[in-house]
Amino acid sequence: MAKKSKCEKYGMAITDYILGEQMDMPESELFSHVANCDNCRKDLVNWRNTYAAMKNKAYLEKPEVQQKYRHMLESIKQGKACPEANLPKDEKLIDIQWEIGHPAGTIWNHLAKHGKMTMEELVGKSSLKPIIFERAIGWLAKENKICMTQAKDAVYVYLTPTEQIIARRRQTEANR
Amino acid sequence: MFMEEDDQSDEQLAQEYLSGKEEAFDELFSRYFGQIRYYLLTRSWYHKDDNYIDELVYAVFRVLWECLEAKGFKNEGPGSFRRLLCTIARLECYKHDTEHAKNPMTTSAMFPSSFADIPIGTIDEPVNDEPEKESTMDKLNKTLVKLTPDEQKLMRLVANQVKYKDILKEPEFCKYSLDYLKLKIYNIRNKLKKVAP
Repeated sequence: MAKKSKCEKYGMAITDYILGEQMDMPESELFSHVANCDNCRKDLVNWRNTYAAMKNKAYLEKPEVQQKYRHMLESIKQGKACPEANLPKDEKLIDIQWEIGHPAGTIWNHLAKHGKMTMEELVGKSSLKPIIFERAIGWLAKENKICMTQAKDAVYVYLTPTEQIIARRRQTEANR
Repeated sequence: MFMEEDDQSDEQLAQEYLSGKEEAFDELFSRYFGQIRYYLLTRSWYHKDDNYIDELVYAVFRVLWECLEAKGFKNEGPGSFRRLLCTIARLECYKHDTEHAKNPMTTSAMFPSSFADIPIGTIDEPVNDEPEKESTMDKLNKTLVKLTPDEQKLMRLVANQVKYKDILKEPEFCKYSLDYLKLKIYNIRNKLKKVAP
């Protein structure tokens, strides 16, 4: 009976240890016990594996993982270094497609729907953060999707004639 | 009649890649990405760091790709591709871990702040390389469904590496004391015992 309650105490410590939390005992005490107790050793391995499965599930469900996965596959085939291999711990790779390409698509849709408008109107309609908006506008400009004109009091933005044709075609297809 | 992509064995896909069909490697990558990640999480001594595991996953598939490019895979029947992949994963994991630790064969290297000295083989039970009848992920999903909504939420937070002090700020758990939260997680953990080996 005493043995069981003693192991329960270590069971709680094993939970905390694997989760990286503060334990109620020194680590050395836990490991001396684990070295001599088969059940607790199995318990430690089991909880480590279960927690790994839970962490893996949570990781794979994150939306950005699909992008990361694609980057990784492309880099492997091109023989490049791992995209995130040498980054400092507090930095992460910005997914260009997701964080700039998608907002650019949002802006394109607004311009297709509402036509020519001032930069201020477009910022308001797109509801994007200013920094994201600027990056997305840069993306569209580089891809020759938009034109800009400078008037006395404002900068106007609209889709290039080719993009306007594409937008009209898409609208017609959507109405069918 | 066309054969579904999923119906092709790993060995068939590897052969197709060798004969020039590049998409076959994409299919193998997609099939094994999650499984290799889990395998490495259970094997690596540094499994608490997601970026480290991603580097490892990358290294494993990079070596696999190089191996296929060099025609280093021989189809020796069902399971031969999986055996090759597991061998690469085990070796890459060992190589990366040893580069990160001065003396990796002891628990004190595995768990740097401890002074205990347990040979690694006693604590790191071998993971079965053969396909399981029911995968750990399937078992986990089935078991998680049986938990109460609060327990599921708690496990989601734990899986996302949210710390105890932050869990206690969540509306569902703000009335819990730290000790009660620990006990709750310990009890849920006992319900999940049959999930993993």
